[in-house]
Parts: sequence; C-alpha cells; structure tokens
Amino acid sequence: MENTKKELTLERTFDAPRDLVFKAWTDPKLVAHWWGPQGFTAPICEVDATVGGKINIVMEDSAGLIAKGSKYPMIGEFKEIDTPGKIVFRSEAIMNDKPILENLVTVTFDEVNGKTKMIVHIVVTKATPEAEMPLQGMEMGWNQQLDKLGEFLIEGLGARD
Amino acid sequence: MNSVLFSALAEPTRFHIVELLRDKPRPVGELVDTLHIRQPQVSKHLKILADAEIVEVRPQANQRIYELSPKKFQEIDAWLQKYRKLWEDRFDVLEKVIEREKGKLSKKIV
Repeated sequence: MENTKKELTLERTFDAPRDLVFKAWTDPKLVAHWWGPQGFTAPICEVDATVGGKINIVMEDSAGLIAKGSKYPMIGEFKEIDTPGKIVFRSEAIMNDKPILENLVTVTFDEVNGKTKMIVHIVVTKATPEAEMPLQGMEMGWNQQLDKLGEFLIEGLGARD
Repeated sequence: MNSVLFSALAEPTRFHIVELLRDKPRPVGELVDTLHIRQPQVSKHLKILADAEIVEVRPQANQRIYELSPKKFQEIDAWLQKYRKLWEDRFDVLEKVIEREKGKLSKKIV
C-alpha cells in the first residue's frame, strides 16, 4: 500500500461553539486528553498550531492493551491554519524509529444552527505492513475495554485539573 | 495484509497497472500501449502482481486477460475500516472532552 492513496472522511457535529472544537484540536492540553486511543495516555504532547509548527506526541499504552508501558510516537507538521475554520497537518506514526503510517489530515469546522460540524478528511499517504500490528491490538483492546476505559479517561481528566 | 502486497504495490508502474485494471480487465497489449513501456517489462510487473495475488490471468481466445483479484482489495478495505474505527473511537473521547470544556466555560460566564 506504500504510495497508494487511501482516504477516509469522517463527520461529526458537536453541540459546542466552533472556537471550542477548534481549541480541542490545537491546544496541547486538550489534545492530550483525546488523541491517543482509549487506554493510552500522552506523556509528551507538543502541538504548535502555527503554519510550519511541529507536532510531537508520544502515546503510552497505560492500560496494557498491546503491551503495558509501550510507547507510540507520532510526529507531524501543520500545513495550514485558518482559525477557527480549518487546519491541515501531516502526521507520521513511528515504530522502531521508522515511519509506519503517514497521513495528511484536513479538518474543517463549520457553524451549523448553533452547533459545530467537524469534517475530518484523512489521506493515508503511506502505510507499511507494520501499521497493521498496533491497529489489530487496539481493536482487540477496544472490544474488551471500551466502556470501562471511556469512563476511566473522563475520571482521569477530572483528577488532572 | 502482508509485505508482499505492499512491496508489489509500492512500485509506481505496478500501481499504474492496478489503476488501469480497476477500470476493466485488459490484455497485455493494451497495457503496453497505454503505459508506453516494452512488453517484457510489463509482463515482469504483471508476474509480480500475480505472485502477490493482486491480479489474476485468464486465457481468452489467443489472448491472456489480466484482471484484479478482489481478495487483496478486500484486505485493504478491511484495514481501512479498522482505521476508521480508530478515529471514530477517538472522536467519542473528543466529544466528552468538548462537553467537559463547555461545562467549564458556562461556569465562568455565570
């Protein structure tokens, strides 16, 4: 699948102001709360939401879904910032010092009847066979622990403030 | 998904061949004409694609017709579905984070 283009478009509407949804993507403190898969924490979460600004997130498997304590770094760079309507960034998931999955992600935020419609367009620009493994493990983990971990995470959020 | 599949598709000419076969099954001659590459080279790429089970060949009259094998593409689709699930789950958490931040905002206003 290297060099092939695989795309996903996801859409979600939040009952929240557009500024807030935008902030959830661009404020590192908020990104750290949701970016990692459930059961993962983000001991490092640097997000510099300016054009050319870097993204450096290290996710840690705190709940032991794949291997407890294992770390999954992701680096990236913002290509476009149009506050609070649009962001475009490139990301690379790294495993054993090699990029295993590269994405170009475009997120738009639109005000619709007092709510915020978010459209996320993901182009998978590169995926190596190794990209399969964590995905597999995460899916297993989710099926078993989704509800439990969702709650855990929310409680964790409260405790961190 | 396996590494054979990835490396087979990684080469630009082979990817181009796959794109052409996505429209319809084609004989080698047609691929040669479209790609402007000599037949032995096209045949070499087709063999790699066939070994990776990306394309299948069936004889028709005096021609060999190449077509995509659906199995591998179903694997890629299955992978994309998992990836979509990862994002959907992530947005479930995002939604909770937003709800929580909204609560904080309204407290401030009051």
